[in-house]
Amino acid sequence: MSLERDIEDEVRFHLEMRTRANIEGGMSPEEARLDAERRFGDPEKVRQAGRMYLKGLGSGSGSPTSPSRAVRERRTLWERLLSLASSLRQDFVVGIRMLVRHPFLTGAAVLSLALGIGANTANFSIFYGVLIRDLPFERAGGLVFVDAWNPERGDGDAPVTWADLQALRSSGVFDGVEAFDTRSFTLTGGDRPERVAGAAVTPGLFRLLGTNPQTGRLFLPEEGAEAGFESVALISDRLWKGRFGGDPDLLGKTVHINGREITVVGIMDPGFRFPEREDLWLPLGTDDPTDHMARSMIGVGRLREGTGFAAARDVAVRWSEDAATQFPETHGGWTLRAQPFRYGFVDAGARRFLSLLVAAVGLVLLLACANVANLLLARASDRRQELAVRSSLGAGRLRLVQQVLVESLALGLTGGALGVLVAKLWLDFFSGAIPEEMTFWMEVGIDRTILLYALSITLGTSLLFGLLPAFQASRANLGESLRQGSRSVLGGRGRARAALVIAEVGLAVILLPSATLMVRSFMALQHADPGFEDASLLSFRIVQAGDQYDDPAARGVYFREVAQRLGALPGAVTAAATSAIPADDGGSPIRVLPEGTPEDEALYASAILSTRGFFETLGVELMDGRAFSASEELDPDADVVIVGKRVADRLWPGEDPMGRSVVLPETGTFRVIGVAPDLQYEEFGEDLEGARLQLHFPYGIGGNRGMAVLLRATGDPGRLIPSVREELASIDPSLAPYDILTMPERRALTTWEQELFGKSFAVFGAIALLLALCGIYGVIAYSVASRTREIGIRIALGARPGGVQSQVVKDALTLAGLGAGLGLVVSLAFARALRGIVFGVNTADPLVFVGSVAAMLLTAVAAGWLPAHRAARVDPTEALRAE
Amino acid sequence: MTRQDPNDRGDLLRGALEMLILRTLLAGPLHGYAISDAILSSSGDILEVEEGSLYPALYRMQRRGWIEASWGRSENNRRAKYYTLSPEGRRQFELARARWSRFSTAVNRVVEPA
Repeated sequence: MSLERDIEDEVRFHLEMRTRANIEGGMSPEEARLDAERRFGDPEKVRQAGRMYLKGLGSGSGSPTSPSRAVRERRTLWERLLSLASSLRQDFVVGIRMLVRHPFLTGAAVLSLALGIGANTANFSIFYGVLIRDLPFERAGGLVFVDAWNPERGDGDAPVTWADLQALRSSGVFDGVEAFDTRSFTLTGGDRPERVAGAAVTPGLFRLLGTNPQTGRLFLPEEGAEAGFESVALISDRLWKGRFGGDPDLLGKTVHINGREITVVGIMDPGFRFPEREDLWLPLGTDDPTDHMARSMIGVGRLREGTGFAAARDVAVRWSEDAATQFPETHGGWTLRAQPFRYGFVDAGARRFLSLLVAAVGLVLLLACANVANLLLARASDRRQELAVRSSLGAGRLRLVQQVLVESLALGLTGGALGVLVAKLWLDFFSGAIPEEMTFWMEVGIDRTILLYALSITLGTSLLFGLLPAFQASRANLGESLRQGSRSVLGGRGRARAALVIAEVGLAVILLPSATLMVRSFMALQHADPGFEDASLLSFRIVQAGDQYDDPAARGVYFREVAQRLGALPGAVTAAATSAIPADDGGSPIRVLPEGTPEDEALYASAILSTRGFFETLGVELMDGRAFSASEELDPDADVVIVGKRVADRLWPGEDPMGRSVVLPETGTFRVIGVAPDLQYEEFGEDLEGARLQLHFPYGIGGNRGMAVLLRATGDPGRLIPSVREELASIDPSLAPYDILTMPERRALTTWEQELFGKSFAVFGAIALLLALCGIYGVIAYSVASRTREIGIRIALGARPGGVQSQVVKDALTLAGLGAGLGLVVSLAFARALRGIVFGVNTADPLVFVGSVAAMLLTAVAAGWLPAHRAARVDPTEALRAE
Repeated sequence: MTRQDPNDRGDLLRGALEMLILRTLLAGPLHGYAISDAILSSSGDILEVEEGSLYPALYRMQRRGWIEASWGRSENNRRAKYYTLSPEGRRQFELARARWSRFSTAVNRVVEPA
């Protein structure tokens, strides 16, 4: 019998025995055979060993017949995969057992990962929902948002004109260009009037978007010319089911909108609101050429197939330049801006912020990774013997790597699963912190895409933090593992730890300054002084709809009566109507110059209309002069102005402004009768230099239909809301107040983004700080502790304990310093990207950076010194025995 | 796994498998499958071995003359190769046991420091 046959028989015998035992153990024959083969390993190794050791021994005389492939042939690729799967499953079970056996280490690692993966999943969900997810429109990628900006006026997101629209339509770049203008409508005819946010839309807009009504029809082209006497409306599913109780016969019925009878011609699909969360649409358009130059609408274009945004931008810029020379009055200084539709709702600042947030939590995850890698490395040292024994007993190198990686994976998946939970909690908090409804297509939540993302970062991180320990395991070698005592921080296994220290310090130094800046910005915003007493103010808006207000005189009488009667309510001190709510509206920019100056030196300032009692209501005292008189209040020809302090300083530096005149090139000449302190008109955090140039005019000059009303209360202003509604209904039951908010509520509403972002960064910063402190301390302290023996020897050989300690600290500081230096470079760039996002803080504030670096270096010193101190005091003979 | 040299201190543990085989054969002749079963059941999970890796060790020991092989009939009347301890094997086992005891003391000192 040949040697080869001998070996084959022996192998087959073994496999059969094992298979039989397996079957007796309850496996199916197929399973039993595969398990036997898996447990046996590669029979080729046995054959090789046989040839090597048995040749010339015993009976067999090595006549080399071809080896029976009985065993080998049966292992097809599929079976190999099955066998791999089975070994993976086994490793997984062993891995879980290992994790359960070390609850503290597992807990720390899982917690780090859950926080890291959770934060990333949550922020990706936000990023994805706002910036990536397909818009619910047909071929949404080709939709263009067209608005205008004028840097000179400080106007960022201004409407465009009908002429702009026509120019883009004939440019050949677009398949279509339509427009909308958001408005708010008053619905009457029910129990009480209701304000509904809506928009006027050109008849072709919804067709351009590819959205259809669930019942009825869209607007007809000719209905666009109805401006001013519209007769048809489209409503959202939400409004239909809400206000109209889902009335199945609503289509074709007449409803009362802004005091006019209008027919509902279509109900849009459920979920559709436009442009943000509006519910009611009227046709927009004009046949009147005199309207063609009014900035009154936002354009929506669809790129022609094969053209890109660059072409759209080019066309927009070229037309803007032409228009500026052709129509300097209306188009001078203005540039059309064509950008992807989504960007019209998420401005560059928000996009940058979201990206920074994603980057920041990515860094947090890396920190978590570094920590877990360190924990695993520490444990790997304790497992060296186990792995070495397994290796010596025949477990292949790959098998050991697989074992360690699978354990990392088990750890990672546990952390990932918890992380999804963390993400859910964070998103709930996030949604709860948003005080207004999100734009209808911005869906933030955990769906399949987000879960897939969570799974991929979980796998990625597991691989990342599992690689180092796996690499160590692959070198598991008994001799080394027994011989290798402790080495210096920079040698051998220490090199991995050194890299970890550098990485952790670097990551922390990148994150901490930005987090500090965000938190300080948010705090600055909370304590910013608006220039008036806002705690006891109630504010709301009202628009005069209906024919009885076509007469400007009637408008003024109404607002004067509202101010007087509300100010007389019990619990109220005083009230006034104004064209702009401070710290919210901004005010409308106008050009102004001192009398006797050439027109091209005009400045832009905000014009604010108000009824009498305005300054009193705000709790502001004039710095000079007087308030408007009763006769000036409603007079359309009044020629008086109260200038803000800064306007006075700019127009007549060092001189007395009282009695001087300003010229508004578009309107006329006005005499200065008073000087007012500068107020905060823009939203907090949107401080523009020009925004604080303020001119106050009496109401009659403008005679606006829509005004805001401010009411000062003696106590909580919110408690006055019911009596305010009642009083307004008794003045004119057809007008409904809307946007009713106390000023503190308004402040929260205009600063929630800052607040939310500040809080996000505070949370991520705190997690990062915690991870970094634990991580840096852990890595350094562990590696010093494992040098106890070396330190003992050095001291036994006569080294001074102090010298040894300072050497250890110096080593730690060197690494931390290196990490901090690398981190600082990125950190400065990261913080600079926050410019324009943060408020009232300097993004290059050296204190912030120095503080973060110092905190990390101190941690490193403490982490080196404490264990070194302990080690140096250990009796050298003890130290020699310790590991 | 490369060349074996029992005198290398570092290979002490590599010899562990051989020692376990010798220990198992002390009780009498066994076939390979029975040896692997015995080692597995007596050493627990930590010595989870690819069962195939037992055979190279057996062949090596056969080459060195520590064990001898012969074909016989198994308990279920199958043809199986049985291994028997030689006198040299017996002597090697005593040596290995002494080495192991020194070695495990050293390991214990490392693993469970005073």
